[in-house]
Amino acid sequence: MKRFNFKVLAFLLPIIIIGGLMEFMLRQMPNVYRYKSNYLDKNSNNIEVLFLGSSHSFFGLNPVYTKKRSFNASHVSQTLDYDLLILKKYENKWSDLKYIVLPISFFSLFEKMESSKEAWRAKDYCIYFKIQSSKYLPYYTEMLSGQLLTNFKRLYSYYWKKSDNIACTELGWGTSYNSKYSKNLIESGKEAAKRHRITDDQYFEEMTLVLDSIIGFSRKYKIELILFTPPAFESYRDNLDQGQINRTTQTVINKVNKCNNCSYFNFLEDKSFIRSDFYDADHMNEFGAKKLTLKIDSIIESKQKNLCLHNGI
Amino acid sequence: MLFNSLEFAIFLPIVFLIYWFVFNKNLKLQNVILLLASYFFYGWWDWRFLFLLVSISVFNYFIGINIDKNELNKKNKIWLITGLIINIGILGVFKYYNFFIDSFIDLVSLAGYNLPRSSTRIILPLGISFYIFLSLSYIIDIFKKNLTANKNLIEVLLSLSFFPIILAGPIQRPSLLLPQIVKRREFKYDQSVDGLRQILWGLFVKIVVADELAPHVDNIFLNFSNYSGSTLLTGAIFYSIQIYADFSGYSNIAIGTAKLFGFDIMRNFAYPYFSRDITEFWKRWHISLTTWFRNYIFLPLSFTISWRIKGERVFFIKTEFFIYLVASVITWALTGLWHGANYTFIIWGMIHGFFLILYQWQRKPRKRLFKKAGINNDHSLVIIIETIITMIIVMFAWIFFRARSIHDAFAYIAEMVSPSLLKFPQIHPLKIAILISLFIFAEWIQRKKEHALQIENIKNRFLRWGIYYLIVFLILLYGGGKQEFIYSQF
Repeated sequence: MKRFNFKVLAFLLPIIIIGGLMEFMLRQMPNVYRYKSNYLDKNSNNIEVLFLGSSHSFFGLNPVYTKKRSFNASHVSQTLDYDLLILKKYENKWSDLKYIVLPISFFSLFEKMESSKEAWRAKDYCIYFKIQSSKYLPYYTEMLSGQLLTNFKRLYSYYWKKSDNIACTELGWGTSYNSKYSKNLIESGKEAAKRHRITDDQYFEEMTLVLDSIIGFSRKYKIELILFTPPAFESYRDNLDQGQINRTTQTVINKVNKCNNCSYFNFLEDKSFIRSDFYDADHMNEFGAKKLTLKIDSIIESKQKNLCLHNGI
Repeated sequence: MLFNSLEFAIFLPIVFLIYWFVFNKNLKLQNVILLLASYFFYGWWDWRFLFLLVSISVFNYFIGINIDKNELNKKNKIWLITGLIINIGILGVFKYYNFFIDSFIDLVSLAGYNLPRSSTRIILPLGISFYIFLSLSYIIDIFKKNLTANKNLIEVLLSLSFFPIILAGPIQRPSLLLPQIVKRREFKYDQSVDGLRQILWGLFVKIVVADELAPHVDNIFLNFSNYSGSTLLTGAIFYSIQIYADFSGYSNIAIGTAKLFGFDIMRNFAYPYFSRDITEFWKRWHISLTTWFRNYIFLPLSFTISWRIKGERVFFIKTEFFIYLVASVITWALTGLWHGANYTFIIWGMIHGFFLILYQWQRKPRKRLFKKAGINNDHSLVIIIETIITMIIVMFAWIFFRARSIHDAFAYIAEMVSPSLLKFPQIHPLKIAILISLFIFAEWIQRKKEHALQIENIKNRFLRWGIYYLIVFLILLYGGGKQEFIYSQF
C-alpha cells in the first residue's frame, strides 16, 4: 500500500507542480475581467452611470462621451444573469449610481452564458470578479477551465512576447473592434444572425425572471434603468428571425410599461448609423460607439432635466 | 458525478484513502463507506433521484427475501412477478412515458384527431436502465436459485448501486458482485496499478478520441443535407469510433476504479471492431448487456418456445432455426428499446437481429461452399474481408442509432450512397486522422490484453512512465470542455 501511494504521489507531483505554477502565472496576467473587477472594487461608489451587457455594450458604449461619471462593466457574451450578479456584488456600494444602461439584443432573453459556446468565460467571473456564479468546479481554476494549448499560448504571449492582455480603456470600453480591421458587413451579418437565432427557448423564462430581478434591483435603489436594442447593419437585421425579435421587444415593452423607473429605446433600425460606424454587422467600431454613447447620454440628460423639473430644481 | 470531471478527481482519492486507511480492517465499515460514497456520487447529479434509487434497491431487497423464504413455487412466482412489474413499470414510466404518449398522439392524429401535446416531460434519471437491470437480475437469480437472498441490507444496496458501475455499467449482476462484497478484500498492488492504468486509458480514449470526434460528428449528422456522400461516410466512420471510444472509455474507467477498491468487474469491451462476424462482434461489444439479454430474455424465451413446438418444421423452417429467429427478433427489438425511447434504436436493434439471423442461416451452406471451392476459412484475406464486411454492417446500423429520426437516417444513407460518395470529403481533419490511427494501432497491438495500456511487460520504468506522462499530457492538451458520456444518457 505504501509503495503504491508513494509511486502515485511521485508520478503526480511533477504534474501538480507544473500545473500549480502555470495556474499561478496565468492568474498574475492582467486581463479585462480583473481590471474591471478592481476598478469596481475601488470606484463603485463614484459611478453614476453603469453600462452592462454583452459585446454590443462592450464595444458600443464608450464612457468618455458621457457627461456623468460612467463605467462600462460589460463584456463579450455577458448575459443578463451575470449583469445581475455584478449589480448584486456591489449592492451596498452603488451609492452614486443613478442610471443602469442595459442592451436587450436579439438573443438577450434566450441565451445563458454557461450554456453557450462561450461558457468558459464563466471562470473569469468566478476567479477575477470573485462571483460564485457556477457550480462547475473547473471554472474556479484557469488551468482546468480551458485547453492546455490555449493556456500555453496565453503564457507565451504575455511572458515571452510581452503583449498586453487588457483590451479596454480605463473606463472599460472595448478597444479591439477598430475600424481599421472592419469585417465584411454582409457576410458577418448573415453569420451573426444565424448564430443568434435560437433553436429552442428553454432559457426564456429564466432570463425574463432575471430581467425582472434587474428591474426590481433598480427600483429598490431608485436607479433609472435604460434598456435599449443596439443598432445593427441591414445584413444582420434582414436575417433576424422576426418572431424572435417581436417576442423580445414585446416582452421588454410590457415590462417597461409596468415600471416607473424604466425606459426602452430601440435603435435596431436607426438610420443614423451608417456603414462606417460598424466593425461588423452587429458591433460598433470607435465611430459608432461614439455616436451610440452620445445618443444614450442625451437620453440620460433629458431624463435628468425632467427629474430636475419634477423636483422643482 | 462524471468520471471525466474535477469533482470525481477529488472524490476518488478521498474515498480511496478512507476505504483503505481508516476502515481497512473492518469489512462492514468498508461496505458502509462504499455505499455512502455511491449515494454521494449518484446524488451529485440530482439528489432527488437518489430517493428513487434507494427506494428501488430497498424494494428489491425485500422482494428477494420473500422469494427466497417461500418454498412454495406459486408464492415465489407472485413475489417475482410483483418485483418484475414494479421494476419494469418504473423503467417504463421514467424512460418510455414521453415516447408512448407522443406515439399515441401521432397514431390518433392519423385518424384525424389532433390531441394536444403535454408540455410536461418526465426527466430521465441517470443510469436508470442500468440499476433497474441490476435489480431485475437480483430477483430473477434468487428465484432461479442461482443466488441466495442476502439478509444484510447494506450489502444488497451496495450491489445495486456500487458507484463505478451505477451510471453506465458494466451491468455486473449481483450474483457476481455480491460474493465480492461479502468477502474481505485485501489491497493488491498489481490490481491497483492496473486499475490506474485502465482509468488512464479510459480517460485518454474518452477525452482525446471521443470528445475530439464529437463536434465533427454532431456537425455532419445535424447538417447532413449540406454534405457530400464521402463526407457522410466520414461522419459514419467517425461516429462508429466516437461511440466506441466514449463507451469503452467509460467502461475502462469504471472497471479500473472498481479495481482500486479490490473488485473485479466483468469486461465490457474486447476490441469489437476486430470481429470477423456479427456474432463475434456481439461477444465483444457491451458484453455485460449482451450477457444480460442472453440470460434473461433470449434463453428463457427460446426454452419457452421450444416447449410449445412439437414438429420438426414450422412454416417450412427447421424448428431449431425458427426458435432462434423468433427469440432473436424479440431480444433485439428489446435491446434497441433499452437504449432509448426512439424508433431509431428499435430499428438499430432489428438491423443487428436481422444480420445475426442471416449469419446463422448462411453459416453451414457457406462452410460447405468454401470446402467445395477449396478456400481456407482462416486465410488472412478471408479474415480481412469478413472484418471489413462486419465493420460496414455495424457502421450502417450506427447511422440509425445516431440519427434524430428514421426519416433522417434514410435520407443520410441515400445521400451517402449517391455519386458524391466518390468526391473528396469536405471534412478531413488531419489531426483526427492521426489520433484515430494511433488509437486503432494501440488497440491492435494490445488486442490480446484486457485493455490497451496493460504495459507491465515493458520493463524499463522510464519508458513506461514516459508513456503514462505522454498520455496525461495529451489528456490535458485536449481536455477542458464539458462532455458527457453517451451511454450515461441511456
